[in-house]
Amino acid sequence: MSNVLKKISWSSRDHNAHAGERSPLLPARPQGSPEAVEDDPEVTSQDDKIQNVHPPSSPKEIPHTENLLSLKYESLDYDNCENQLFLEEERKIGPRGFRVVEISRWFICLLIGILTALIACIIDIIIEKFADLKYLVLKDKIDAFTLNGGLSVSLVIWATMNAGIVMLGSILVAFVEPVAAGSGVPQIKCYLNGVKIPHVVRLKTLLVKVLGVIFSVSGGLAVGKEGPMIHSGAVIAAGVSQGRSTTLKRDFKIFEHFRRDTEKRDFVAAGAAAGVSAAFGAPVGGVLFSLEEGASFWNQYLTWRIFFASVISTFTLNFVLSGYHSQFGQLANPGLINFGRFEDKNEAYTWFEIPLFLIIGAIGGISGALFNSINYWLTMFRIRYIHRPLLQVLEAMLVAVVTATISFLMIYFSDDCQPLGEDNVVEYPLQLFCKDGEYNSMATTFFNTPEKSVRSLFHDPPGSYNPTTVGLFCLSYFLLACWTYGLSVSSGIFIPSLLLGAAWGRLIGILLSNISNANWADPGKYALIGAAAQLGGVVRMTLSLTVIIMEATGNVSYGLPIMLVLMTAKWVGDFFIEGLYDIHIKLQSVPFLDWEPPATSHSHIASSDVMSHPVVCFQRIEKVGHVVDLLSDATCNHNGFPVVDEQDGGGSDHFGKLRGIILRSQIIVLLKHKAFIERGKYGMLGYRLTLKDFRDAYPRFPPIQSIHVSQEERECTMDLTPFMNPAPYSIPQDASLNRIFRLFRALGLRHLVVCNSENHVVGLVTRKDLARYRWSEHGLEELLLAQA
Amino acid sequence: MYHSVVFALLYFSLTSAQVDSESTVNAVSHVQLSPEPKSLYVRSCQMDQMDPMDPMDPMDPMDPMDPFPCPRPSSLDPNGRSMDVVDETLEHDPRRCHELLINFSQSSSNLVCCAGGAARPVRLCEGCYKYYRVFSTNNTGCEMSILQSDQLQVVFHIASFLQDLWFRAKCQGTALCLFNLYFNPSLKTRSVKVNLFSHGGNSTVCTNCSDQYGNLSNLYTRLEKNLSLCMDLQDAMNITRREWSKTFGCTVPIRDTIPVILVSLFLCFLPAIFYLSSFLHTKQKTRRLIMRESYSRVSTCLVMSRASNAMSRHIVHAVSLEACWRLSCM
Repeated sequence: MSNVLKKISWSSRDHNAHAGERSPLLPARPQGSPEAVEDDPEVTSQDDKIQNVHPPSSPKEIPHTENLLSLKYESLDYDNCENQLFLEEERKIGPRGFRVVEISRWFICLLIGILTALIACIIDIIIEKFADLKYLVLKDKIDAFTLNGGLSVSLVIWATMNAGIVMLGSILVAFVEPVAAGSGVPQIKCYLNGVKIPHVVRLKTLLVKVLGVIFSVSGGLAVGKEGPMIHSGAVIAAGVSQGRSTTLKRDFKIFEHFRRDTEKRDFVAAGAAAGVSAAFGAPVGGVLFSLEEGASFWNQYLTWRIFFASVISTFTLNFVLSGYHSQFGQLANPGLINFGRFEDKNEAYTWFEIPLFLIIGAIGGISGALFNSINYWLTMFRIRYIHRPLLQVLEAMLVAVVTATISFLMIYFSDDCQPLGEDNVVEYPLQLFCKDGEYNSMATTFFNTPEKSVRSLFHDPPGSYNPTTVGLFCLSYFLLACWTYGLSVSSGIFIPSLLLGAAWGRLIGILLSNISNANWADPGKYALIGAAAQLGGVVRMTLSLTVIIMEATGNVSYGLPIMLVLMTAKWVGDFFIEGLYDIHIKLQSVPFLDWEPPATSHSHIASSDVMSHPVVCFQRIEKVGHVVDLLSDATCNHNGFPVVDEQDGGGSDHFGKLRGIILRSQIIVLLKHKAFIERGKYGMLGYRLTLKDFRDAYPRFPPIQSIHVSQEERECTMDLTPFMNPAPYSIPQDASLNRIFRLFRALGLRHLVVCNSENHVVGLVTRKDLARYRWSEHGLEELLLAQA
Repeated sequence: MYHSVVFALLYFSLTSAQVDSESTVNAVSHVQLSPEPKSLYVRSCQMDQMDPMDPMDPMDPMDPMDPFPCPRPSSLDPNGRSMDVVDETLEHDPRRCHELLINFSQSSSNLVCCAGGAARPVRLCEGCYKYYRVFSTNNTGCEMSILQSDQLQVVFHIASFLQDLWFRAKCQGTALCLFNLYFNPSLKTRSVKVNLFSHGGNSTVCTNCSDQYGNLSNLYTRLEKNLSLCMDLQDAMNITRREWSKTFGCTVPIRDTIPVILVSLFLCFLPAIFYLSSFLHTKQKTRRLIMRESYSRVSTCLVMSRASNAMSRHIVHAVSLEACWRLSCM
């Protein structure tokens, strides 16, 4: 252990755990009904038991930090449990059945593509209508107040409107479904990594997300609707593939074969890809996004199916939106955000601009790192102090008010007037103090949805903006966007980053063309490069982002500069701080496994350091009372239990010979169906348990407390042999952390049994045991476990 | 020095029905433009409304007041060569095709001539409609011989250029323009006047004409929303607006700086209060830690001591064991 250089320290003050003191520990969200508990081992009502087990001084309380792992999160079961039931079913289905299953996989992907695109269309159209209404009303008000005096009133009206709209969205998120906050990309990233984030792929989450994003975008916050599309796609995929909705309590009795984590994860990957594809009109980018973010358990033949879902999604969106914009069948709207075409001669780049692009990439990296570190401190503050839903709503409203105020001040004090012409079609031209027939050019960027502002920064002809306007806009928007991300509203970070980058990129373009007086420095081109650099500096995605931007611009020759820019931005940014998504994952205390095991994990740490030691094991024939007691014990929050040989009762340093492994969820199903030996072979139901019984309970297995076991039943015994996985993965005691990590990551394991030379169970490695070790600049750190 | 400024106030006077949404524009339209500045006639705005509209046949494009007269068709080309020489390569009724070619070149040159004259201020649609009509009269039968017998495709390029110009000026189709109003008898024409002011009447212009300007501006905004307007109208309106606010300085927005600053200071101050109060009054969220069983540390020590024993590296043994105990006692 001496190689663990730094142990995370906490404040030494001990809270003597009074009930009143612990109140903030309870989740801020009201607890759901018992059946809503998603096989969650932590039951808050059992706190007193914890107290009994630990001496009063033992449960230390520390302020929330990023160096924690929360018990709230569990692994997904990506490993097929090859028990007898599974083998029986496989024999029963036969080759023809598997063909049907394969076809239904494709059919589900088709559905995922179509539904994701339709959701995207709904969001887009409603936001457009909403924004239209809002800006027209505001424009009328401002015009009237400009003529007659009293502009401060219009400021108040604007601020109130924004705050009201944002309040609706924020109430939904804070009170109904907190997991719908933010872009959802970190959550999906975790899901694809193998962590089950509670509630993340539920129908309720989808509804809150869709409504939330509509409200937050039309409320004028510095947010986009693209990130939430990725999450929405994932939820749709998870829902469609199950053929039922647990929230609505409807079971369509279809796709029952896919009711397990392995299958669901594949579909969620397809859904995320479809979401990216609908958001940016980038089908290949979508596939690569899923590959990059969920690359841990990728199988190659899945790629083609995911690409299918992706392409279907962008086509459907294109078809529907084109029809809506009265160009039926023209297919001119491939994505929610449309960068417009970069095909002009001026917009092509020349070789000597490449060094300039690299410099822009470096600036993007620095700016992104600054963004991330400010957001990091802000998020930390929010987690520690603003954790009550009411405060969260209030904060979101205040941000909306300040956003409106800053926008108004920018417009008010800008004297950048541009003539209304045919060249630049301005949707809501605001005259304010400009001469008749002119409009305030600051207003085009603030008085619009962010997507349209991005497009006008890319494509407005040179000279549409003056440098001071753009510079001021950058500064204010940087602070606003940074402040906004992490609020309890549904909000994407893609569009704000793109807009910010486009603004400073355009500024560089304008300055360049002023200095060099050359016509190669087209501001629109530099706006695009700046946008890529800023986005790359914030989210640090590489391959997928390059392809997404390339596809969104529709110009393959931009591939090289965009790739170089993103690369530079990532390298420069990584020098300072990680990407925004990783920061948020860490702040959520998620046991996330990186691509690579921490460096120096080969020689120093062996599996006996990593593993959890006292392993709760079951015999193959086990007494029901014993099982129930163990499962109800609050300290025993494990989900996997090695099954050991009964002859070999366990010695001082081991727990008996390994025979198999059984999951908590399986035992619960067994208890629920009273599959006890004494009740005869067929249990109480009169038929043999099949895999279907397990699938029906998936994914919300009831907690052990909801299962009633009578006193006589406690004396019964149950045979775990047919239900356990008889061939669990195991690893010798002396294996290095590195080896365990790779095995875990490659196979997507949930439990790995550590055995000694006689195949005796000595320990159990889970995701949290591995995720504890984190490599940082100080060396290898060990994280602490914290309660949910 | 008498420097006159032409203030072109397109005045759409509204009839009782006003303008409703799509097509029924009860407005508009005859523009009188005096070619010579000297013959400017200055009127007061009040008088204009009472002027009876100019009775004229809306179907006659060749009205006597052609603002941009272009040369009549002549049968001689600039070099004096007779255009009657027939190109024998024009197959399929060569004489007729040749005639068509001559007609085309004349009508297009007339159109170009007219368009150049009507460039500033833009009066393209209105002034050159008759030439465009002549120019665009479809004659078929000679496509093969005229359009497709060489690579240069002079006729095709001239025609497409002119057509493109015409389309970009939105003179075509459904766009609302002055000539539409001439030729569409279903629209009741009323009056649109061009008022010419001298620069001298600066102060009176703002007071006298503000009502009309307001009406015009509102009407234009409404029309713009529902219909597409041709370039003539847009340009006239732009000039009018520019004259109004720049030359005459009639639009004076009321700035409201101090209240705006006060209100925004107040609004921006709210978050500061919010954060401060939540920092002071909210209990910090703490996380309860779960202590891992210390067995793994002890077992580590055992494993390590076993390993070091086996290798009989006693010093290492001692050091690592000590480290172990220190850790496990934490």
